[in-house]
Amino acid sequence: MASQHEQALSVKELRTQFPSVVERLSHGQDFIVIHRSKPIARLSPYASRRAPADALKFFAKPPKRLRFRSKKSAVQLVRDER
Amino acid sequence: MEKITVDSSVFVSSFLETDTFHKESAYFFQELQSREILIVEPIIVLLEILNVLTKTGKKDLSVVLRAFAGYHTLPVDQYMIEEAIFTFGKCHLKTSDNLVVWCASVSESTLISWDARLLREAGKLVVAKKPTEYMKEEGYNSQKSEHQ
Repeated sequence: MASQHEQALSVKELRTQFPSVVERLSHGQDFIVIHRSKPIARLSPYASRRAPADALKFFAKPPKRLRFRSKKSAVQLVRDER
Repeated sequence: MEKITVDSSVFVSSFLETDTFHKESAYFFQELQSREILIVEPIIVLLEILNVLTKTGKKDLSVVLRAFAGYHTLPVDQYMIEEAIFTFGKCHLKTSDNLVVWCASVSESTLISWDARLLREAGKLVVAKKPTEYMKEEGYNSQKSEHQ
């Protein structure tokens, strides 16, 4: 199963490797198209992306089984990972 | 369309019931649903969230992965490394912090975090705010966005 995460793709790669890009799209790959070092567009398989509202709703009220308590703050927990 | 990069501290806070900003974090994500908004995230943020949850003994985190699929996720790849190098010298931050700042910079997004140090350093390169500040300045319901 292809990754659901986006992959950077330059305009040059889009031009020169288009058949390969189409092939990867068919397997569910998403792309961020880069032009002059800036992301300018998202390229995704048609109708494959979920609505962002679902993603926001999830973090507004995470499932109870995933919530937890700690003596540390969220900032400290993230700091521990960096 | 508004564009934001949300730091791991806000996501983790939404899971952490004892966090000072837990209610504000939940309210922040709730209020974003009312707007047309683009959320751009470096993949490192998802990895950090999953790692924190795993360390608290949580299992079957596929729902988190599915929720994150609704965001625009920038991978750590050759392009990111080449671009992020320029960010490193401008902010006195650790590598992962810098990748978050890079993501906000390259996508021209507002960086949202509860981490005061990250906000201070990131402010040298991008617009960086706490969720409460962002909601107040962008015209969300400011009464509810204050500490509850």
